[in-house]
Amino acid sequence: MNAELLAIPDLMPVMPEILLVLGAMVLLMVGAFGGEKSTPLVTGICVALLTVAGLILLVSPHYGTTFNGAFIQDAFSQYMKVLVLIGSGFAIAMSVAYARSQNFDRFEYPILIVIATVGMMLMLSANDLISMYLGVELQSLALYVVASINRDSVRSTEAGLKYFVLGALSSGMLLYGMSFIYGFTGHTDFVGIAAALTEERASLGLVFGIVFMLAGIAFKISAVPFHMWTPDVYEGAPTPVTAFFAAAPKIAAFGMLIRVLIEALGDVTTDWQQIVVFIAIASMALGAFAAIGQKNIKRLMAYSSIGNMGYALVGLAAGTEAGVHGLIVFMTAYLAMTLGAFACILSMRRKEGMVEEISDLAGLSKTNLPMAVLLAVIMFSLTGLPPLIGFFGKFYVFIAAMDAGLAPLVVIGLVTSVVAAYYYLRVIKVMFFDDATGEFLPMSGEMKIVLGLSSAVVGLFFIMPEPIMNAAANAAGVLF
Amino acid sequence: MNDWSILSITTFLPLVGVLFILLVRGDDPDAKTNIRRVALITTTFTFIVSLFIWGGFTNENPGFQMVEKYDWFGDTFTYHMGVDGISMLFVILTTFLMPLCILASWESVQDRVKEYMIAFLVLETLMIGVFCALDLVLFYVFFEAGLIPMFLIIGVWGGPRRVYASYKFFLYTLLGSVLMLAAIMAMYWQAGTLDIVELLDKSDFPAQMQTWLWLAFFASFAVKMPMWPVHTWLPDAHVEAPTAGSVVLAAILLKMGGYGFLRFSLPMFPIASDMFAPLIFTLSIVAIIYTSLVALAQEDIKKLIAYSSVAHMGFVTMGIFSANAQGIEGAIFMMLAHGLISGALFLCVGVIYDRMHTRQITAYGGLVNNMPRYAVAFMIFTMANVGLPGTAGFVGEFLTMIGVFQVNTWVAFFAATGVILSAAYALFLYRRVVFGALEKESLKSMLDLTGREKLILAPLIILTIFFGFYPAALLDVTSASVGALIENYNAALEAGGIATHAAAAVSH
Amino acid sequence: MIAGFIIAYVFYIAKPDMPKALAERHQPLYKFLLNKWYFDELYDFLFVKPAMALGRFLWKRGDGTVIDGLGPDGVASRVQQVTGWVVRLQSGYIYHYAFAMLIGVAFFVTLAMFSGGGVH
Repeated sequence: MNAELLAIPDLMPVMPEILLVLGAMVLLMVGAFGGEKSTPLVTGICVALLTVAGLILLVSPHYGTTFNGAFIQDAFSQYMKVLVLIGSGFAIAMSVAYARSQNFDRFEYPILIVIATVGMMLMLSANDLISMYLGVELQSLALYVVASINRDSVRSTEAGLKYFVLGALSSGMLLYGMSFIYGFTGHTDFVGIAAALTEERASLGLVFGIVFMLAGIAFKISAVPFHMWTPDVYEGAPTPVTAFFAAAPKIAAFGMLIRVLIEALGDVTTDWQQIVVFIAIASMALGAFAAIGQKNIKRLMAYSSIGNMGYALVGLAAGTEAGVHGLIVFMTAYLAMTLGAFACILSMRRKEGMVEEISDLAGLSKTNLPMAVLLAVIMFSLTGLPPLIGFFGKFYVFIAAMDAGLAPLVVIGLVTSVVAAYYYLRVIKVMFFDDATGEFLPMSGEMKIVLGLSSAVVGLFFIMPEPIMNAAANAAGVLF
Repeated sequence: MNDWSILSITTFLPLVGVLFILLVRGDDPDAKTNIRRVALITTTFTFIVSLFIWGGFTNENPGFQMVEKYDWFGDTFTYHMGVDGISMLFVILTTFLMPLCILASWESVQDRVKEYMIAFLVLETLMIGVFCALDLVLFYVFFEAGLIPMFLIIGVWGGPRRVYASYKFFLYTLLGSVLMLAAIMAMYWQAGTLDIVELLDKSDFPAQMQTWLWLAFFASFAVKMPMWPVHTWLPDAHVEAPTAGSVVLAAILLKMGGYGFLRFSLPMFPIASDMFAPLIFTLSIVAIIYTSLVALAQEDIKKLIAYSSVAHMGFVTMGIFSANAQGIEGAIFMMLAHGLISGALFLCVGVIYDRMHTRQITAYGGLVNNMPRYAVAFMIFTMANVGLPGTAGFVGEFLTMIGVFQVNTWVAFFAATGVILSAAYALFLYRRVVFGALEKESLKSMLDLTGREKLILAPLIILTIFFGFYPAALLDVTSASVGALIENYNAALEAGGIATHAAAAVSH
Repeated sequence: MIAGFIIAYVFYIAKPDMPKALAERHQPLYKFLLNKWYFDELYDFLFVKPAMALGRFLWKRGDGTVIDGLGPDGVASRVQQVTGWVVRLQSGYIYHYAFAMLIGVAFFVTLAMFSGGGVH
């Protein structure tokens, strides 16, 4: 017993996380002593850290479990972590230009994102309820601060506060659900829980636990009815923060949700499937309908992301390997589309300052054709039109659900995507059909890179789908 | 001939033109002319290349020819191309009309020429792809992606109500298509493949499932066709679209619906097709009579032709679901002929629209006095639209009616009244625009056809009359594939019928 | 034919003013014949006008009011209406949001309990 406690656990699978944590601590020192002028340096090193962590994962991943099975590194977590790192890294990169123009120089911002990223990576590698909760909290605490980072702005602080209060509520639910699960199975580790679920159906207490835990995680992925914070926080937070919120945390929470539902609760699929189906339908419908009335493009993206989480949940509802495979492809598509869209939103900059109304995009095709075309590509992809990546993401999610006998869910999903098409089209309409009202300042270099890369993935995925498709299949395979 | 991937080359050749257009810098008149030239050369060259498809095509072979197959998305779907007698001529129709569309936009489009030409070239690739695709998802990709350039063409270069029209077009079609997508997914799990050739060979979906699949495909193709009562997007889209957009819409995009019925609904879901044939007949008859009457009352030339398209498509659906050789071959012939004729009619409208910038019928009258050549061209196409013997329009109408007569005489009877109505609205239109006194001052200065316009209309006139006198040129191509289709269809029905009898016997 | 020949001879050569007199004497008959038995007007009344009226009716009422009204335009305005309701849910108050979450949990617990979940 003692020896086991004293033995140093295998640290190789945790290498990327350790690197990020140490780096964040050092950078915090650098920032604290260097003051505001060290911000560019800190930002640069943060991006470098995230890149290195991503490279370690890509080049020499160490698969296996450690910390007595609480932490697992496998192809699934590897793939999802790479997505998260891309999301976080680009989010920091995109904040640079914004920081320059908007007096947003705070060295804490990139460091907080790195810490949140570590939390997300823990979530993705969590193989135990406890480590899962630790990951969630590490991520959330950093995010609460990030949401209100612009402390002089009422809207930003309001957004942060809302997110904090509701997030605390959701964490409570999550923990409450976990305690039920522990109580009724006697285990906190996923393997143990799965082994304890020998009966066909879950007991009532376990069902309670599952519902509460799902509610807690649904908050993180902003699924209906736990989505209410999303539009307000998206709109209120500074735009780079919104860009960050929209991408990486969603992917991390989704990865965690997949692992806990498939690995730990895979034997009682029937008990959670119905709830997931309901959340999926509600999210898709609300995302589609509510977005139509929006004038602010950040709010629009908030509802769009709610709808997209609904589509992703369709794949999860299938509960099959094909479903998870589709979901991973979908999340990849979502990441590319979100980053590209926010690169455009962050470039909506006039002499007077940032603008965020959809009508401000009017006539963009005349003033800045490349940006208009790429944003249109992303919008068409969000609509789910072939041959763009958004189509294939939805296709694989829905085809899996079809196989799982969820044909009505598929039809509902596809019909809501037609409703959703209306507001994506509106963005395109404003850019292409309307007359210009004013010009934006030229895009900064970082934005060009982010937009170029993401729209390349969105637009050209169909030419070479193999790498992503195979990696996703590989990642989905390890869970089954 | 098969080893140089001619279908892929034809399909993607327009994209090469896009690359060249992207290389053209500047926005001055010279650059615009260069862009137009590149587009014209590309489309013409594509047409010439596509003629090799016809040249290498074996009429006697009912199966798919010039097949190409490559891995694409693992085991779910492949890049699989090929043409048979049903699809080949649509490819040629597309490539044939595109240079004319480019020519028609030569002067009328001055704004954002680069984007306009790119949109058309991309659209051409997607349209050819639809007719060549031999994988359901590949088909869907081409079918659905075509919405993007068309949406932009209507919305950017369209008329005053372009936003409404483009939205209506896009969302209507999308709604139909997503239901088809759901059906495609269901077919994948049932049949284990999305390969059209394999699906055609097997095509043994259970009767109950066929009903659902058929309805889902119907939702998509009926909107695309369009059939009554889901046709209302078409008049709006036609009226607002620029001339070339209308031509493409009427001549090619509508044919995708009919092609879809022939390629999927009839052979893959024969039992459901048989069951729903009365529904199709009813809707076709309603379309023929109803929309002909509506056409009679129109005040806008383009809208009138749009409604006449809906009526003509009624003949097509009627012919397809009569499921016999005359009906189906007639339907294919009718689609091709309508592609030429309605395209030509929209081009004719474009000619006077470019001069007067109005499409109101009342704004015209007496054009025969100062535009005699135009009057002749317009008359030929009007007569072809009516279905006058000796024009291409007659053959298709006649064959479909023979086909449907064998199935149901009443349907044929009502369709015939539609022919009378079509004569009424077409001639009425012609009289109001071309004949009468040349009273309006603004019209007196209108010049007759320019060289460019003659160049556009002449090939269409020749083909309209040529195919009217020698329909075998087209029918020979289609007959083998149609024969095989009908044989399989009847065999499947027989098998289905026997199965149901056997089931009935067991249950008793 | 001979009768026709004689009448023509009388009307046009022998007594050219006789047709005029005849026409004036039998005014209604003359008008009737002159206007081809009013066949054009009859057809206009019987077929053309009703066809045009029917066409216009089907266009404006059939296509415009019924098909578009129930179809695309109707659906579009329903969607707008639903959007109006949904957007109003987003009140901006934290306690509304928290309440929605709790209602959601309660609903899902109920759903899971009654949909067969939970064998004791």
